[in-house]
Amino acid sequence: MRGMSIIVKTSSRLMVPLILILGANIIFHGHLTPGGGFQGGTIVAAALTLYALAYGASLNLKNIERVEAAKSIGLAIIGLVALAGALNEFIRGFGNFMQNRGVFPLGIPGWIFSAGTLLPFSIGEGLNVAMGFMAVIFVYVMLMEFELKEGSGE
Amino acid sequence: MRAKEIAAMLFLAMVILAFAIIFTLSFPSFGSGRGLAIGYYLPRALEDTGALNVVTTIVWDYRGYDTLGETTVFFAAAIGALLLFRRRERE
Repeated sequence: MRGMSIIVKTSSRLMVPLILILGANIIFHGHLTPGGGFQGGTIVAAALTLYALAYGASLNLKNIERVEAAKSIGLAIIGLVALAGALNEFIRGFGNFMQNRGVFPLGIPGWIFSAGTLLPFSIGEGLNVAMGFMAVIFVYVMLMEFELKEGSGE
Repeated sequence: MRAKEIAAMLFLAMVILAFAIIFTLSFPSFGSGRGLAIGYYLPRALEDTGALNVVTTIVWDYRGYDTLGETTVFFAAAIGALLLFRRRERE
């Protein structure tokens, strides 16, 4: 896909870092303020979509592999943290393995490195959601390219 | 569409609306929810998890199974979309 005009490029170059910072803020404060992984992840995906559409995105194998790799890392963080809790529960007798019972320290309430499992869960969910929406956007971009190629009449 | 079908659909819509109004009126009003589920979560969320946001506490700690499944479904949906359309590119 071709990029857009120089006005859109300049203004999106100014806006994208600010939107990314807002999304990261909402993700990393998931256990302190309203919001969390899903909400922050959608904001990050919106910023990346703005960048991709303004500068012209193209769907190739490398982009798909990057998106899938980041998404898998997000799910792997969640799975590993949940697995640590599950092992602890297995040793002490079976229970709710997603609940934090003494494996991860709770810390001081209100600090960013507190609340045990909730911060890694938020980060993993944010990665997963942002890259999942980027995958959908890539599919849309590819459909648009396909329609344009069909419409130009070969 | 015939008049009989329209009348049947209107009747069905009226029944659903009546049920919705009846069950909405039977909800507890705002601020009077103590003793229900919130009476379990609010007093002990801070000392159980150390987090200030009780919604995140419920979503990722008490009901963690549900959110883990939801995240897995989202992951699988995005992978499925990419897989479906990659085959179309090759043709």
